[in-house]
Amino acid sequence: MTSIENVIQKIPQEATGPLQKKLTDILLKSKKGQMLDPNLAKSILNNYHDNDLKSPEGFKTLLEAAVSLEKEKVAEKMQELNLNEAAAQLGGN
Amino acid sequence: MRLQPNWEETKLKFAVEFVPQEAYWKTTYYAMLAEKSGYDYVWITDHFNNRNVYTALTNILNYTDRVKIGPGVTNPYVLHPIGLAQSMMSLAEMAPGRVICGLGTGDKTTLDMVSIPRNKPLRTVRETTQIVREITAGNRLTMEGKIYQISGVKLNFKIPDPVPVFIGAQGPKMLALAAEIGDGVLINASSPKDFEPAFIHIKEGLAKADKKMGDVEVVAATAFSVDKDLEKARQAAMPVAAFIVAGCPEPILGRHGIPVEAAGEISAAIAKGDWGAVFSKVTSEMLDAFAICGTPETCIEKINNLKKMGVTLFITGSPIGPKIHKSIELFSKEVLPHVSD
Repeated sequence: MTSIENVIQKIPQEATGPLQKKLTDILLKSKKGQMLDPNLAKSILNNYHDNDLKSPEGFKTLLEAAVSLEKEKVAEKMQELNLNEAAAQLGGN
Repeated sequence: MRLQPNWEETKLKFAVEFVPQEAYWKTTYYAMLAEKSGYDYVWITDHFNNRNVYTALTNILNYTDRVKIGPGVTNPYVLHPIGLAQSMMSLAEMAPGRVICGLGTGDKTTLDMVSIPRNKPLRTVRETTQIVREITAGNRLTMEGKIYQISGVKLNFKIPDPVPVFIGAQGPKMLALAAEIGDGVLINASSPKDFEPAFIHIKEGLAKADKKMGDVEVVAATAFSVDKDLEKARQAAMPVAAFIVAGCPEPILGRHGIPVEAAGEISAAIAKGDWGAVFSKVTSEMLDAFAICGTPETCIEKINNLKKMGVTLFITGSPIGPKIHKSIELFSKEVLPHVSD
């Protein structure tokens, strides 16, 4: 099991919607956009085109991308949503 | 073959303009968001110091299904018109009927940086338009122009229809030429004070070609910023307004009652990179003259005013808002429903 999957396990299903919006914001506001892995970038675009960013696969891609660029900001947003276990898991990765 | 597009629908159409200064995937994401939000066109600006416009457009075509796209605008000085025609045809092969060639004379400041003189802009645009039209129509072109000489050129592939050419214009002669030979006139302005005289010159150009309003798309290429917070919307528009004022011809400054000295001070502050001074010198009058910015209600009123004047396509140009994706969503939800009928 990958570390991102460990983090996802700590996120209740009902929290994925609100967190997905925050992850998108983090990615679009990031100043490190050009450092995003091209395969992750393509996966985000493919999922967005197919309206699948909310699917488990789309959410995983967003989370992986956001963590790769802005790990601390992702942890902050998780804490704002009271996803403390997920934030802690992220910190331990 | 002369393309006669059907621009006669009365419904106001909407475009968004992106500057490809962020990672390619972000610009593509924004373009998809614009399409999902109800926009009709996506324009990508063309400056050699940003990402390449054709690479950006190719990727956008790969990820969108409906919006029309094009360089907004390119110029025939950096890329020869035959290369431009080839690029347009290659894009149109990917998405027939969805590609528009936005053409202008380029930004003098950036052309100066690479020692490319902006010679004979009117003649250059006229001949480039002819080249793009003939080549994208699949014709073999021989041309003895004053600028370009072309001998029996035909590309080795075809597209179903020639690519329409929209011409960016600000001065009287270019506005008239754009209306005379273009499929669309891209007017770089945001205020009715600039559109009133523009329409006079557009009508002159149309008359010369025995065309009428409705035969060309009349496009408002605005500096735009929308946010629920009025001050945030206006703050976001300040840098763009500052650059417009700094490079604005004296007659246009005069039309808006802006002293030439004030524009000179902003220009000097930009040259020094003193952004604090730049922003302190941009006045409310400047913002209102050179940008459409504010709350959704303010933007609705200003867009409807331009529609009443005869604008048929409205471009929400840079900066779009304090946060691009949030402003596109806000525009879609709170502006579009009140201006698109």
